[in-house]
Amino acid sequence: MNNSTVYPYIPNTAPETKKRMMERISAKTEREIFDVIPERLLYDGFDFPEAIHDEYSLKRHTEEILAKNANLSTHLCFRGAGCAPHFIPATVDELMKRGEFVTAYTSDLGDQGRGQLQFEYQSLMGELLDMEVIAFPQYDGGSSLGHAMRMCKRLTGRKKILVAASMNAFALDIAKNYQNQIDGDYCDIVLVDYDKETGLLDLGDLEAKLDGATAGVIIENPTFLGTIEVNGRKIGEMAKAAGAEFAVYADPVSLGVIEAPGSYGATIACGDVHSLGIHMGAGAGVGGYVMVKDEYRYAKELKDMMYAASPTCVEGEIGFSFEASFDRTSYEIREKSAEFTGTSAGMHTAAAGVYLATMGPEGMKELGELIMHRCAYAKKRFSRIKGVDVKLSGVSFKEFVADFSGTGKTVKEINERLLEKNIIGGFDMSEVYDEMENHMLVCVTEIHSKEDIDRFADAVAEITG
Amino acid sequence: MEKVKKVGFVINPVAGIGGKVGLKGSDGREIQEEAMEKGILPEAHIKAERALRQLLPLQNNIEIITFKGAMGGDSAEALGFRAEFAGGEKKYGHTEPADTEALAETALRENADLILFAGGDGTARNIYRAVGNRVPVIGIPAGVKIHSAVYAVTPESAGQAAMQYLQGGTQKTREAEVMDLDEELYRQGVVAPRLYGYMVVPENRQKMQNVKMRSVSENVNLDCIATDVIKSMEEDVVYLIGAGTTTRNIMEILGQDYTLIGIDAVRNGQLIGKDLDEPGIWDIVSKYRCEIVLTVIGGQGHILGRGNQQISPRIVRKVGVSGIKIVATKEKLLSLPLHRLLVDTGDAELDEEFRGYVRVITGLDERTMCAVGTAD
Amino acid sequence: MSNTVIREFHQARWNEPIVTELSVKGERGVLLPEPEEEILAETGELDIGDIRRKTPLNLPEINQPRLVRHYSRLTQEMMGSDNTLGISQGTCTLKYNPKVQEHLALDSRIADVHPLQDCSTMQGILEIMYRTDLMMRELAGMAKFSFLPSGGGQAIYTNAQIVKKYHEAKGNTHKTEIVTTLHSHPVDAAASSTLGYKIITLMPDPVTGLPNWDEYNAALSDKTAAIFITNPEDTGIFNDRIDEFVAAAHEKGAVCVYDQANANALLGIARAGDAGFDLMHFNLHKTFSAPHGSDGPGCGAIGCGEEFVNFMPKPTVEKKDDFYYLDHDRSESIGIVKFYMGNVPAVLKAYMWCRMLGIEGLKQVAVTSVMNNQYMLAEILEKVPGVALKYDTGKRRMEQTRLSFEPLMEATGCGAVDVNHRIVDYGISELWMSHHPFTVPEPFTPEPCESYNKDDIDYYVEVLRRISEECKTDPEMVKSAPHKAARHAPIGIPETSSEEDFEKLATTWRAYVKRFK
Repeated sequence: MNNSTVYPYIPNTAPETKKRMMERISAKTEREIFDVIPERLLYDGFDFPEAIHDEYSLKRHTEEILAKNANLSTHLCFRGAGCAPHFIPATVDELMKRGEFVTAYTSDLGDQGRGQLQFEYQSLMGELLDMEVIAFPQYDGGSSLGHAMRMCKRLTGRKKILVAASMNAFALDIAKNYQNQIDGDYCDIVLVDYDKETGLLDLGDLEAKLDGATAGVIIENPTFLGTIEVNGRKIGEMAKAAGAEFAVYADPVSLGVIEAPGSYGATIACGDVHSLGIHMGAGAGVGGYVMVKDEYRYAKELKDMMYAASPTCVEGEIGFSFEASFDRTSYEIREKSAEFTGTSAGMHTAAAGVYLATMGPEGMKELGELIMHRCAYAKKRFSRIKGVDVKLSGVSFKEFVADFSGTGKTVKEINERLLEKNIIGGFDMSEVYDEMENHMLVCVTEIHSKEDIDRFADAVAEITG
Repeated sequence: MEKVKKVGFVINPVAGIGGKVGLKGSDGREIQEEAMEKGILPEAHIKAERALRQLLPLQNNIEIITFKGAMGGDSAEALGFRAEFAGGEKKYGHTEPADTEALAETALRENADLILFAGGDGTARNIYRAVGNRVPVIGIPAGVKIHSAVYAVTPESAGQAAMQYLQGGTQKTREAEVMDLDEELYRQGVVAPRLYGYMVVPENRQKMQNVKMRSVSENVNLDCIATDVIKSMEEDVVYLIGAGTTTRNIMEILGQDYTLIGIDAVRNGQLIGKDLDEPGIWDIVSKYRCEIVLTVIGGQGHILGRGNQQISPRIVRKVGVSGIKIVATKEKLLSLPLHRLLVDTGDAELDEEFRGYVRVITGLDERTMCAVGTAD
Repeated sequence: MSNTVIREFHQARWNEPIVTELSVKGERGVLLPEPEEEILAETGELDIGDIRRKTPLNLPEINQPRLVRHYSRLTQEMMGSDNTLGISQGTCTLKYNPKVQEHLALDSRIADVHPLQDCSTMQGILEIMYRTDLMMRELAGMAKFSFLPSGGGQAIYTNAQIVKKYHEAKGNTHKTEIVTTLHSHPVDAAASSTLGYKIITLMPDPVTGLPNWDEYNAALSDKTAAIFITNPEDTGIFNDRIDEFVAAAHEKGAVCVYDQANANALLGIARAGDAGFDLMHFNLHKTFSAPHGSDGPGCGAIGCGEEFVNFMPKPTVEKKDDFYYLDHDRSESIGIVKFYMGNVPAVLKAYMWCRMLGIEGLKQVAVTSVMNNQYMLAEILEKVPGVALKYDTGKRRMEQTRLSFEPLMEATGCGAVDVNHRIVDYGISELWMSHHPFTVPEPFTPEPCESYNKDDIDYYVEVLRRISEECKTDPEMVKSAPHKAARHAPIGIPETSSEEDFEKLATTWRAYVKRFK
C-alpha cells in the first residue's frame, strides 16, 4: 500500500497535479473532500487481494486462470440449447474491436454512425422476419419472449398465453418469471403438447386449448428440439381465427431457408440474435429482439426506446435518433404495471447487422442448407449407433434429439468420456425435461465438417459400444 | 424555415399601472386614470418588447398582426418586425378591453399561428373570451395580477417559448388556466379568484436528448392518473370531480359529459350532477357517501379555495379530509413554490386539518408525497 | 487562465448510404464451406414443405472491402470514451475501459466457451466469477453477489423480485408499496411497478435537494415493502442521514435497496452494508470499467445481505474443495432471470480492473473522481457565464453535480438543449441533462470521473465557456448546431407515441422508404 502510487487509469494521481487540484478545492486532506460523509459511515477494514499493478503480470495472471477453460480452439463442440458454435465472419469481429464503437453510449447527435449501425441492423432484421417496427434489444431471447407475452395481453385484453411445450426451456423459465407480480401473474402460460413422433405442435391439443380467452399463441421455429415447425402457417391461421396474436420465436440464422415469420401469419416475432455472428462468450453472446408489423397498435406496445431515421435539413441526408416516441417506454396506461427498459445488448445487435450484411441473401440461404444437410447427416450417423434412437421424424435444423437409453449409459457418462477425447458432447436434456432422461440434444452447425461429425459419432459409438 | 409564420401581438398598454400606485389591479377606467394622474408611466410595452426581442432571429419569417400604436404596432416597428395593421391606431390611454378582444379576434381570423399578448389576468380573460382554445397563446406577464397559467414566468421566457414553437421545435400544446379575481372584492382585501376557462399554450417541453431521460407526454400522464382514480372507484359512492384539466380525463375515460371549470358528480360511472353549486353539492353529500377529487388550481398550489369555492367548509367537513383525493402531475407539483400544496377554505380550523403530507396521485399506482400548508 | 488551446474539430462526414443501398447484384461478402459430396449423397433433398422460404430475402449483396470501409466509416462517426471526452454524460460514468481487459475478453478462452459446458471445463471462468464475488462483497459489505442481471435496469428488477420473494416467505401479503425518490433512477420505480408494486415518490426538498426526513416518514407505513434509493443521488449530494433512513424503513419491516449503479464516489470509502442496506447493485459497465458497448450488454451485479442469500437468482457460483461449480439446486431462489451465466466478459473486466488497482487504487478512484468533480465545479462556476449550482451551494458535491443553464437561458435565450447541440461541434458528446421530470430548469449533470486528467477537465470547462459566449454573440449559430458533426440534426423524429406521430416513425429502411421517400 502506497499512497504515492501513480495509476495509469487515474491520471490525477500524479503528485504535482493532485496537489494543485487539492489546493483549488481548498482541501488539505482526502478526508476533507468527503467532509459530507459522517465518520460513522466510513469503512477502512477491507480484506482485499493484493494488487497486481503492472500490466504484464496482470495479463499473465488472468491468462493462467482462463487457460482452465475448454473452448473451440481446444475442443470440438456439439452443444447447443440456445447457444451454439457458429462461424463468425472477420468483418464482425473487426467491428467488435473498434474502440469508438465499444466505448460509446448515449450521445445522439455525436453518434450518428452508431445510430446508422443500429438502424441497419433493424432494417436487415425487418427483411429477415418480414416485419417493420422494432425497438432497442432485450437482454436475451428469454426476456424478449416475456415481453412478447405481455404485449399479447395488452393487445387483446386477454390473459392466456399458449406456448409450445417444446419451447426453449431457458427462455420459457425467464419469460414465466417475468409474468410474476405481487397480485398474481400478468399472463397465464399454458403449455400445448408437442407430437412425440414429429416434435411438431400437437394441433389437436392446440385446438382444445385455444379459446376466446387466449391472448396469444407462441411457437418456436425451429423448435428447441431442432425440428422445423412445418405447420407454422396453419397454427397462425388458428390463432387468428380465435382472435389471438400469433408470435414466433425464431432462430434468425435459419431464416435463409425457412419462411419469414411475418410471411406466415406472425404478428410478433421474437427471439435471440446470438446465432447472427456473436461469440458464445460463456453465454454472454446473446441479445433479444421483438419485432412487429407496421401497425400502430403493435408499435405502441413495444416497451423499449427506438432508433429511428428521418431526413435532416440537408437534402438527401439521413439522420438517426434514439429519442423516437419514447413516451411509450416504462409506462402503460390501461393495465396495472409498466414494463421497464434499460441498457441491454446494443453491441450484439450491431454485430448481427454486420453479420447479415456480410452474409447477404445467398450466404444466408447457403448457410441454412449447409446446416440442415450436416445435421441430417449427423442424424443418420447417430441412428446407426447401436442402442441409440434418433427421435422425431422430419427435417431438423441445427439440432436433434437422440435417446441413449438403449446403450445402458447416461448422457452424463457419455459426455464425461467424450471430454477425454476433447469433444464437448450434446446437451443433457434430462436437465430441463423430466421425460427426457438419457436424451441428448446434439447440435451441428456450419462449423462441423463431415470429418468432425464422423469423429464425434465414432467416439460416441466407441463409448457406448 | 421557409414558411412565414403569423403572430398575433397584443399589448394591453395599461396593464400593471395599478400596481405601481398600490392598487390591486388595473381594471376599470378610474383606476387607470388615477394612476395616470399620479404620473405613472406605462411599462407593459417594455415587457412586451423584451419578449418580442427574443423573436428577432426569426424576423424575416414572421409577420406580426397587431393594431398601429400602443397595442403592439409601435413596439413591433421599433424592433423592425414586418407588421400587418388591422384597423386604426390605438393610442395609450384610449384603449378598452374590447380592443384587446377585437385584436385577438382579428388575429384568429387572419389564421395566426400564435398569439403573444402582454397584460395580466384581466387581459387573459379578454383574450380567452375572444379566441377560446382555437389558437395557441402565450402570455407576457405585465399585469398586477398573474394567477393565470397562460403566462410565462418572465417576458424573456415568453419570447423563448414563442420562438421554440414557431421554429417547430415543439408543436405540442397543453391547456392552461385563465383565472382572475373579482376586482372589486379584491380591492377590499377579499381574495376570491375564479377559474374562467382554459386556453391552449405551447407545451414547454425540452427536446429529449438522452436515453436516460424519458418523459411522458402530458396526456399519457393524465390518462394514467385518471385510470388510477377510476380503478379505485367504489360502487354507489359519489365522486365529486373538481375543476381542471387533470380531472377532466377522468370524465373523458368514463365517457361522461363534464364542465372544465365546475364541479361534476359521478356515481357508478354515470354523471349525476353537472356544474354544481354549493347547495347542489351539499344536497348530494347529505344523501350519499362521497369522495372529492381535486387538483391544483393556479400557480400557488391551491387545492381548495381557488376556483372551487363551491366546495365549502361544511362540504369538506361532511366528506372528511380522508375522503379527498388529490391528483396532479409530478411536473405540476415540482413547479409549485416550495413544492407545497395550499388549502384556503376560509375556515382556519378546517385548513389546519390538512396540514402535513399527502399522497398525491401522480400516475397509475403511483403517488408522490407532497406537503400541505395553509394560506400563510 | 486560460491557456487551454481549443482544437479545430470536425467529425468525419462520409454520408454513408444505408447498407442496403450499397448492394450490387451478385457480389459476396464472405464465402461459406460447401456441404461435402458424401453428405449430400446421404441426405438427398430435404423437404420442409410450405415453410420453406419463398419470400425473397432482400439482404444486400456487398463485397468485403466495401463492407469494411462502410463500417470503419460509421465508427468514425461515433463518440466513445476512446476518442472523445465522456465528461458530459453524468451518472453514466464513461470511464476508460482498459485495453488489456478488452483484448483478453476477445480471447478464445472466454469468447469461445459454451455456457453449458461441464463445470470441470469452465474452472477458469467460474474462478473469475467467484473471486470477483469475494471482492465485491468486501467493497459493498454484502454477503453474496450475483452477476446474472445484464444491465442496471435488470439488476433493479431482480432486486425487486427478491423483495417480493422475501415478503412472500414471511407471509407479508400487505406489503404493496415501494418508496423511492425523484432523484433516484427512474428504473427504480419502473422495475418495481412491473412487479405490481405501488410507487410512492419523494420530491427533493427545494432547499437541500435531498429527501425530506418528515416527508419520508410520512411515506413509510406497514404497507412499505421496500425503499429503493440512490446516494449520492444524481445531484451529487450525499445524504448524511442515510443510515437513519434505512433504520426507519427497517422499523416498518421494509427491505432497503440501494441503487449503487454508479458507486464511483464511494469505492473503498463507505459501504452499503454498513449503512444497513439489505440489497444493492453495482453496474460493472459504469463503476467497474466494463465498456458501455453502445448500449450494452452491461452487468448489474447485485449484492445481498445474509438474510437474502437464498433468494438470489440461479445458478449461483460456488466453491467446494477447490472446485468451482454452478449451483442450480436452490429451492428458495427467485429463479432464472437471464440466459446461462450472464455477461461473463464484463465480470472478467471488473476482476482485472480490481486486481490492477487493489484496494488502495480503488480508493483513489473515489478520491480522484470526487476531487475532479469538485475541481471542475469550482472552475465552471468561476469561468462559465450563465451556469448556476442548484440546491445547498455550500455543500461539497460527490462524483457529479446537477447544474443549471437557467441564467444563460434568461440572458441569451439559449439553454441546455442548445448547448447540447453545439458541444458536439467541439468533439464532445452531448450533455446528460437530468432524469424526468426536471427538478431544476435547463439542467445538466457532468461527471469528470477518475479517467480524466486536469487538462481534460480544463479543456471541457473552456469549451463550455466558449459556448456560453457563443450563446450571447451568435445564438442562431448555436441553435442550428451541430455544424461539424457527421450529420445534421434529424428532422421529423416522432416525439410521442401518438397515432399521428406513428406516421413519422421509421425504425427500418422498409418503413423509411414508405414514409419519407
